[in-house]
Amino acid sequence: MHALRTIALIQFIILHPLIGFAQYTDSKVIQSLAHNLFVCMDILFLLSGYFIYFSISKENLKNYYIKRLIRIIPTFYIAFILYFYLIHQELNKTSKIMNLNSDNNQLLELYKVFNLSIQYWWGMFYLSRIIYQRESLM
Amino acid sequence: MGDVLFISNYLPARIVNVGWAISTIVQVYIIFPLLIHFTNKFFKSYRILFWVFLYFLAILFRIYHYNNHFLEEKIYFMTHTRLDSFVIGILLAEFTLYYQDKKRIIQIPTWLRLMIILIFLFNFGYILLGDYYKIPLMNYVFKYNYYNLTFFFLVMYFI
Repeated sequence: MHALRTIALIQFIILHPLIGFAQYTDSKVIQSLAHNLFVCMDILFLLSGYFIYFSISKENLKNYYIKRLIRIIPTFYIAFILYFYLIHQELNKTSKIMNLNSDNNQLLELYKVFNLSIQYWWGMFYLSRIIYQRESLM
Repeated sequence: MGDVLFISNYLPARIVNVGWAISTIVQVYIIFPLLIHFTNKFFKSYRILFWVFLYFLAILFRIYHYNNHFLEEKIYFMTHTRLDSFVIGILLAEFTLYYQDKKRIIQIPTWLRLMIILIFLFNFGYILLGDYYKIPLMNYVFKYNYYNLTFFFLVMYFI
């Protein structure tokens, strides 16, 4: 599984943030990349299905729901809270730097791209952390 | 509220954009263990057929949403339209266990291994650089199968 994990990490942490920037360029190659990089979510889902099966194979249903699910769900909440906090921190910073009250469309576009990229970066970073945590629980 | 209850993939508003993915995963984490348990207990001989059926069911749901009241969000975010990627993970786990049991019997020749890796390197390149997303039916219905089947075979190569 090392190869798949490496692909997933490259997708989540390095390639996925590029989507935000790539959507605003005219280059056909980069536009194709931007459309097709959503593939990373499918790796995540595939890994989830794979791990669920092995979790259930190792123990009975009751243990699964009591031990594993209760330990995993707080991780998702922590990811949400951290993500929410970081996004808003970035939003505030960006608003101050760029003076978004002005009617400058270019700045607004840039702000959107920046915000989107940061969102994807943090979101995918935490999702990849969740994969690792889940694996360590097995 | 949708994010807190992990149902944000079925609601229009969510705290974070990627909240839909976490909601989808949690829903599957709750429902799938029950399915795996019952199929292994009561339909052990037919469990592969059941998972294959579920795989195709997700495609049918996508086709349905594509043809009726089409909304990209419906297809991309909802659990029942993205089930196939989870199911292929389960099939991969089944295959891994089967292969581990029969490891001494199954021998894949080197030429076949090379062929598989070449096909999937080509596929992966095509996924990243291809322009199939310009065909609507491919983009909204079948691209997910292209992704998950590619990864399924890619991982099978490394098992």
